[in-house]
Amino acid sequence: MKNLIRMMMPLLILLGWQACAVSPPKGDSGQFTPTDAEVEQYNARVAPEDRIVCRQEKPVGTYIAKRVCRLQVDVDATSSLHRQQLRRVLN
Amino acid sequence: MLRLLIFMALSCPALAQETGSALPYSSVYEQRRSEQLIARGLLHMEAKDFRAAEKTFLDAVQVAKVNYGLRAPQQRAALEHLIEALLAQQKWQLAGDQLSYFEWLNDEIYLRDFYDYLRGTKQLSELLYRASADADNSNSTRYLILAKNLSWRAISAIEATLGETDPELVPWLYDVVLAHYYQVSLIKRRSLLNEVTAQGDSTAYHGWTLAKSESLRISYRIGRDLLRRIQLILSTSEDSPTEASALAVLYQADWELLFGHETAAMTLYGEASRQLSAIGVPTDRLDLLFGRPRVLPEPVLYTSVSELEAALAEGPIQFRAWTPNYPGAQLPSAQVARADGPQPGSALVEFTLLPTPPIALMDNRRIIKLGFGLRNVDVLELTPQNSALDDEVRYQMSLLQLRPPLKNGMPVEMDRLQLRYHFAPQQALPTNRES
Repeated sequence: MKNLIRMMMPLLILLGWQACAVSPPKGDSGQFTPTDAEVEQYNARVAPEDRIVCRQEKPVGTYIAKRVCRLQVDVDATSSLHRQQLRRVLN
Repeated sequence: MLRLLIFMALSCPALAQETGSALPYSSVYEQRRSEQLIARGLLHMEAKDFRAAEKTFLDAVQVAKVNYGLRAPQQRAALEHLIEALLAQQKWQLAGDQLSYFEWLNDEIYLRDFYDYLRGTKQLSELLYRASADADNSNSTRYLILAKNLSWRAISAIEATLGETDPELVPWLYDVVLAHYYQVSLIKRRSLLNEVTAQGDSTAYHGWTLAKSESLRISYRIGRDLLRRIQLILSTSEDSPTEASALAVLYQADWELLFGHETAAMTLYGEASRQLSAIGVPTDRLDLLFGRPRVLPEPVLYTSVSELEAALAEGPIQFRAWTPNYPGAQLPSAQVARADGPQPGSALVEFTLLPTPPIALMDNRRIIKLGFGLRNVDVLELTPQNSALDDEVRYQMSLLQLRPPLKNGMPVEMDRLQLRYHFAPQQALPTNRES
């Protein structure tokens, strides 16, 4: 039995590793974020309020950064809201 | 009839005053007068009378508007010179207004004549580059970004009109690549550097530490992606590599080298050489072609070996520094050159290029690397003669990156290379402390 487990160990490790591996999204999935060049090309032809920014963000609960794209106005509004809330808490 | 007489009586003295000679036209708004005014304005520009030039070019724009219409492309010639006159007087606000007007006019032309729109875009882009090159303009970077956005809009327009793989895209994509290089060169500006001296293992280092920048990484990625796209466009029509697509690989290698990725650059140089050999370019011609180093990035994207050969002049490598705003960048084109200021001088430098990793100015991770394998820099000639300039030209040389000489796709050592360094207009040259 022990020998069987020993023999199966590499296979189990491989299966475990496979389970952790993330496969990239397939097809024309909306999960793809635009490249830097695509973002720049888009921003060059829209009004400032419609521009988007992409950056690496670490979501709460993980250290793995993820590339997130947002509208610049949304980023500004969120920052402003957070500043307001912080000011309210501190006062 | 009476009205006509009154009009002639009123307009003639004004015209006589303007011309100071016999009148060659019958009406203030006569069509050909626009050309005459432009010619006169150019004479004012030559005489450095920019105020008179501005007024004359403004009149020429009005005449073109009256004759051809408010949205007519014929205004562009006069408008271009008007903006030049305003920039020469450092009237940034007015120049900005006229640049915006030029852009509006060009957008109006887009629906009527697509190729004329592209011509206007190129003209406007050159004007924006000129505005961004002025060392006294605190808003210079804004004009660089505007020029880059203009190129992107031209790319979007070409994609929409001619398709996403049309070769017409290539020069515009390369313009964006160059704009990113100029953007990156901004961080080499002395105002953004710290001058430091450090001691390590009995060797003293003196140099400039760089500001860390995320924009550097973004610019690298965008340039790399666009050069790949250029290569793809140039190779789509053929299954086997063409001269154009092989040369595109060469530019990819240059880009990697500019960002300090020497290993990737060497692989790509080898690949470019192999592809050119595969399509039948003889080895001796290739060795001759790659035996003459070039300062990177090339301002023009050559798509044929003969074009590239024609650009390789005999004698010292010529480097015309563009502006102190973008250290290490060469003048993009003659159209972007300033004609209103004195040229501050030049230097003839001799050096050796070695296929070795670059040496750094600082024994630190945040460094400015010297050009790839640049050694034994010797200043042979200085104009004007000034010993303080010697240090300056060595510093400026340290900002240059040269394409290494290649033999069979591999970098080789080259001794006693000469480069004529033309300082940028407005370059603040150090004065000789002895004098």
